[in-house]
Order: sequence, then C-alpha cells, then structure tokens
Amino acid sequence: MKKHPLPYIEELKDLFSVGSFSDILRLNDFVYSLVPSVFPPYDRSGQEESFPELCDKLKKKEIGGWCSLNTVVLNRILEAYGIKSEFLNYGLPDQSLTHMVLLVHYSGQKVLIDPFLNKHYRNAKGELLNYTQLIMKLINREFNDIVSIYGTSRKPAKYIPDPLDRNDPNIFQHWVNYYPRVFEGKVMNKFRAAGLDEFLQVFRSGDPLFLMLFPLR
Amino acid sequence: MSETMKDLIGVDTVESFEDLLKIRDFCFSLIPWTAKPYDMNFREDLVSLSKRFRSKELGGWCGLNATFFQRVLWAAYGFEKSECVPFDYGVKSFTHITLIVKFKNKEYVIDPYFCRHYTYKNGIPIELKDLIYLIFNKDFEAIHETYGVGVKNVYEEYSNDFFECTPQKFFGVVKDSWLKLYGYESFMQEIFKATDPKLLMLIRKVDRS
Repeated sequence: MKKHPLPYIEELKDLFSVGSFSDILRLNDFVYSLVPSVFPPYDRSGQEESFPELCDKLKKKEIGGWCSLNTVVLNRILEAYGIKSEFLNYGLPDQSLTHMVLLVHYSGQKVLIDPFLNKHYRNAKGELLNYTQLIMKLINREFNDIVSIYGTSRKPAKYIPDPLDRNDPNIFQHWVNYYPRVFEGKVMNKFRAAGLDEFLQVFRSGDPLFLMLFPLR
Repeated sequence: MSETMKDLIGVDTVESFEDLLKIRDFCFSLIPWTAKPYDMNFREDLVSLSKRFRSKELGGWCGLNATFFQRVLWAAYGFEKSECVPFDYGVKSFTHITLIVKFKNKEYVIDPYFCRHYTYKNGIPIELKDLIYLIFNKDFEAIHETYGVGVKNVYEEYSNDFFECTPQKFFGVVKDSWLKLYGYESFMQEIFKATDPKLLMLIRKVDRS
C-alpha cells in the first residue's frame, strides 16, 4: 500500500499524490483553513517543533499567523508531495505594505498562489497565468484580464493583521470564520490605512497587485 | 606585505556614494568582455582573480560583473549580504543583472557591467522604489543614465584581439546586438508599447526558496 506523505493530516487522507493543478489548489484551500489569523503572529525562529507538531498547534488554534506562516506551511506541504515552490516577498517595508506568496513550479512554469488570501490568478478566459504573464499584464494595465480565483474554505480569525499598529486592540472575542473574499476585504482596509491608496496613485490605478513590482530580498 | 583589494581599487572606505561609484568603475575596467563568460569560483581569492582579469585570462558578462562587485563590497568593504543583492531582471533573450546596493538606508541600482547608475537631472541618484515608479509610468525624461569612467576590454573574434570601450560605447555595442540579433524593438513594442530597456526592470526574476 502506498505511503501517505502527510499521514498526520486527516483532511488530506485521500490525496496520496499531487498531479493536477486542482490538487495543488486543494492543498492551498486546506492551508487557508488550517492557519488561524491571530495576534501576535507565531514566530517560528528558535522553535524546535516538527512539522506535524506545528500542524497540530495550528489545528488546535493554539498559534496562528499571517501571510508568511501560511506560505511556509503550504511550501512544506507541497514539498512533501514533491512539488517545488519559491517564496515571493514583495512590497514597501517602509510603509508596512508587504505581502508574501508562493511561486509554485507547475508544468514547467512558476504560478503564483496566495495561501493567506486563498487565491490564484487567471485571465478572463479562465486560463492559468504564470508569474511573468501576470507581471506583464500589470505593466500593460490589462487589469480586466487578471481575475482572482478564490478557494472555498474558511479561515478562523481572532484578528485581522494591521500593518500600521502592531498593538491594535482589535482582537475578536470569539472566533470568526471568513470566506476568502471577505477576509481579503478586511486585510485591504488595513492596507488602505497604511497608505495603499497613496502608493497606488503613483501608478494611476487602484490595483494592489502593483506592489508585486517591488520584490523584497 | 601582500596587496589587498583596497590597494588595487584605491578606495579605503566607503564614506560617500561617490566612493561606491569608484569601486564600480574599477570593476568595469577590470573585467574584460570575452565570448565565453567565466563562472566565478567563490573560493578563489579576489586579488588573484583580479590579476587573472587584468591579464585578460578571464572575462565575463553582466552576471560576473555583478557577482564580483558584490563580493568586493562584502569582503573588502564590510557590506552585509543584505546590503548588496543581485537585481536580476528581464525576459526571453533580454535579461540583465545589476546590483541593488543599500547605502545610508536607501537602495540604489548600480550597474557594474555598463558602469552606470540612475540619477535625476540634477545628478542626485534615484532610489530604487522611485526608479520603479518612474519606469512604470514611462517617465523616461526624468531618469538619466549616468555613466562612470573606465575602459572595458572587449574581445573581438575576427581580429582575435581586444578593443577598448568606454561605458557608453560598450552599452551601444551590446544594445546593437540586441537590435540586430533578437528583434529587440518589435518585442519591446509588443509587450511594453515602448522600447526603453529600463522597462525590462519591471520583470524581475525570482529564485529563492
């Protein structure tokens, strides 16, 4: 019998191998629902826990995090299934307008997947956009040909990250489960407070994807 | 006493932006252009490597110039690795590597291969983030390509010898090959609706995991 790459993740018990892009999206959907949005975000530096232990803590909602933790978890899960991926960290750190996503190697291309917001990008015909195509569409201002495709799972949240105020007392009393579009709207409100609109005026357009033109090291 | 990189370059410490440019000028003149680029061995000592460049035994292209400039900043001038990182951009045959150098908490693009950087009309260097804004908005009038001083030795296979190029002339030679060999203008028009090579900076390569 074939060995499951992640036997400790019950939700993926029937996914023994990943071959199609929809399999990858299923993993992304799982990660979105696994990693709670909490304050403070979990800092893995100096932690010695194994990946199964980390997943267990996330499942129990003992810890949670924002874009970087979501990205790291998806990267590790993809790795277990033999799929290579790269971190893409971009934005303007001086203005706290930063984000982290994953460039997943699929079918000889690099495809951008956003595990924090549970989405990826296609053109208006529904065709998958690779990273270069996405950037080129931004450069050519073909915004109508960039479509966000969201997953269907919900994220448990006790906090929506505020890039301006790390000590924001806006912590929910109870867990709230957010569908991706609603969660993204909340995150964008926080980004707007940090000056996103002023940044976008320079590009004479309102699309936050322009932050991707500023990859960080 | 053995010779150091600082002795060769003639810059003791990086106090000003101009000191950085002197180091860049040194790298431009030191590394010849050869048809077969050398893939730098990171274990090789910089001084001995410099001597091999000077004797025209080794040469290379933009990747080598950027890597060498980066290593000089790390090893000889104490820059942190995060303060001078390769800036790898472009698409298809039109790719280039320069260096993003953090100096006094601001990031700048310095191009050792073409011995240049980007300034406003008044000569003040443009920060990376402002440069990207200007390029995206195709405000090329606001961006000046400011070239340094130096002479690059360029191998010419017909004569089997080297000829000397100023930075401007060297960039002209490379751009000419893009125009003649790879259909540069039609490609740029197709994707950017303009042909300024700085537009390629918007398509940055990412390779880290």
